[in-house]
Amino acid sequence: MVHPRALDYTASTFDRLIPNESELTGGVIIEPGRSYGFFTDTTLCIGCKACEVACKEWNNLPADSVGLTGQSYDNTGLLSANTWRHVAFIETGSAGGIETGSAGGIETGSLGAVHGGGTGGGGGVRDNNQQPYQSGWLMMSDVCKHCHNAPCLEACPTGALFRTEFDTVVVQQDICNGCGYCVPACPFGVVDVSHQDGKAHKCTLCYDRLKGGLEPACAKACPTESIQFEEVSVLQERARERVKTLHGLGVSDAYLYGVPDAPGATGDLGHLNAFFLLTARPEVYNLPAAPTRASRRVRPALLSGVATMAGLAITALAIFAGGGKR
Amino acid sequence: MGKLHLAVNERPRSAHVQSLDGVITLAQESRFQITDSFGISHQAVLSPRAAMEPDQLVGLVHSGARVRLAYQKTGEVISLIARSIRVLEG
Repeated sequence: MVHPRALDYTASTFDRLIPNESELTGGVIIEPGRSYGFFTDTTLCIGCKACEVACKEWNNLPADSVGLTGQSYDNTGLLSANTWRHVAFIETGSAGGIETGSAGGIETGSLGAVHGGGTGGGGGVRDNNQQPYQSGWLMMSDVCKHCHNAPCLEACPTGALFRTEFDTVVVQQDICNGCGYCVPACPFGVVDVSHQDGKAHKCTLCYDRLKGGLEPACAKACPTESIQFEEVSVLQERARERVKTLHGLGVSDAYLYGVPDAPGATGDLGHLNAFFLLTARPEVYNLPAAPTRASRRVRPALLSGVATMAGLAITALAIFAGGGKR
Repeated sequence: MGKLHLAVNERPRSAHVQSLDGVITLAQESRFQITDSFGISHQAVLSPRAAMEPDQLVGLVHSGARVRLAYQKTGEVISLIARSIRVLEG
């Protein structure tokens, strides 16, 4: 449906920004102090990669992963310092098992372990309807999750990673010293340090566009509304309705990843500002089933290290004491 | 055109420094676009070893000054790695 305000702008080119353009393209007015994010509905993704291209184009990111990955139709491979959107292609076999794809080596797409639903297959409603030797596809546009409690932000020693007025997480390039602490801290493998400029990079949720009243480039480019940009609370409600609709249509495997009290929003992460509707186990999409914050592991890691050192010291003392008696 | 060999671990190690004259037409963080005298645009990334800060790129975009870019190529990305940028005229 065309927004009524769109009729005010019929020219092909403009000499200035349209005020609150996001209202026309995404149905949302962007205001500082509110929490914005992405809802990625993988059941609508057709793998066109328009989001990847739009991201590269807007952010002037160079092409990387030059060459063939050999992973199905996915030649991007993974998120990196120069790739902030990645459309994963996961090929499912005719029996519903996951055969190949960028997620790599997953044998089955059964959702039973996640929420008790499903009948054992990653192909959803097509599980029992596919012709022999025909394959089905799961596609998902992966991106930085802009976690509510972001581990990368906690790990950054310089304050280069910060939370914006739109509740997104961004790396300030002039402050980043390239230490790379944020890289292992991210449970999703999103942040990467560039070999070219030596700084950490990741999706900014188009911070510059948000400040100009534009919706993020990937969401604007998505032709199927698989990527939706809105206030997080609105998106979460919309996503829950979508799951109900899909269940009603017989897609019993559909569930949300990254909303409160759901897979992906574990380990004190709170919730993910960029969350997903999935139809197979998270691992099938190369997402962790139960991500955690690295800061939660500091105390047990330190204590186990101290305990190990104490045990070794006591053992050494016992050995030397025994040798002295002989 | 000098044929300097890199002494640091930037891949590929044998990449030679080449030069290109043009105008910087777009800059974002350390990434920028330089348009040469034939009107062809090239994408480039400012090396951390260049004696220049990414903030200075924006000034060059606004001034439209002709610059000489010394760069290397890398097999990892389709982009020039800028080693230095020298302003040719005001």
